[in-house]
Amino acid sequence: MAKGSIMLQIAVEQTFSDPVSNVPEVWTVVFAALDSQRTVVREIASEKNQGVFLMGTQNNVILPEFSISPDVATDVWLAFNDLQRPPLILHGPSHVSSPPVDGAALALLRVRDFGMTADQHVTISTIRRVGSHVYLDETIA
Amino acid sequence: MEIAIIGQGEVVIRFIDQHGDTLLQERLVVSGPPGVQALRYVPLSIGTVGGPVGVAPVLSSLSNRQQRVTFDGEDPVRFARRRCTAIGCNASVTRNAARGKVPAPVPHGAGVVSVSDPSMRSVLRAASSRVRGRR
Repeated sequence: MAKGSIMLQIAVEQTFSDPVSNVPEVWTVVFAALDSQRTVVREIASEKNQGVFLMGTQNNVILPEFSISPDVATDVWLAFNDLQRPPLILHGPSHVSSPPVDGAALALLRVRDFGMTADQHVTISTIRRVGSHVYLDETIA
Repeated sequence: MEIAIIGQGEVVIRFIDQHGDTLLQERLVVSGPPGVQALRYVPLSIGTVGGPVGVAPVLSSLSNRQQRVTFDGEDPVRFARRRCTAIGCNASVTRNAARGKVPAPVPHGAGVVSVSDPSMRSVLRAASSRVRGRR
């Protein structure tokens, strides 16, 4: 058997009630079994919305220069039953089909975004939303 | 802590301090074929103006009753109860956390806000009734 067309998707939204001095990173995976047939990854995409507001907690604090990535790091791992065989890793975004891969038993989508830490004189107010998806097709080899 | 999600849907987890106030809310949405699973790793401490604060994760809602969630491989209710005790919550806060009854995060003071966040269940109900009315 083969799984046919599959979508994997994960989104993470972080909302803080008060300014904080550290914002945890986003590190998450979503995965599903495949039937070790022929897999083609059709699309890997991601989206991020974030607002960040830095505040000095004392007078005369010079706020640090600060920038944050407008995107998240997304990759897809195709792994095999034989763990000696190295997984195939595909990076997003990608909107063209990958070469066919035979024998993959697991499709895993990983999403990462940076954490932030400020020193004691600065706090961070933020809301972050990230989401990624992969479309893939598994057909009989 | 490892959050494991089995099955698709939306999971809302609130991280409370010892007073039962929500410092952080995470909304995790998973989609995929039957058997899809997700893992997320989160710290159980948040840095605040007053220093690091230990938090307890509380499973606040699931959009899909078929979905299953574990915290470090454990039932979320049991984990929340144990973690609440560890960070010094009183009995009432611990009991409410075990029931998933903790407040939504309320942004205070200056900062980034999300204007409104209605429950999607009520939005879906309203949208469905509008669609049905047009058929």
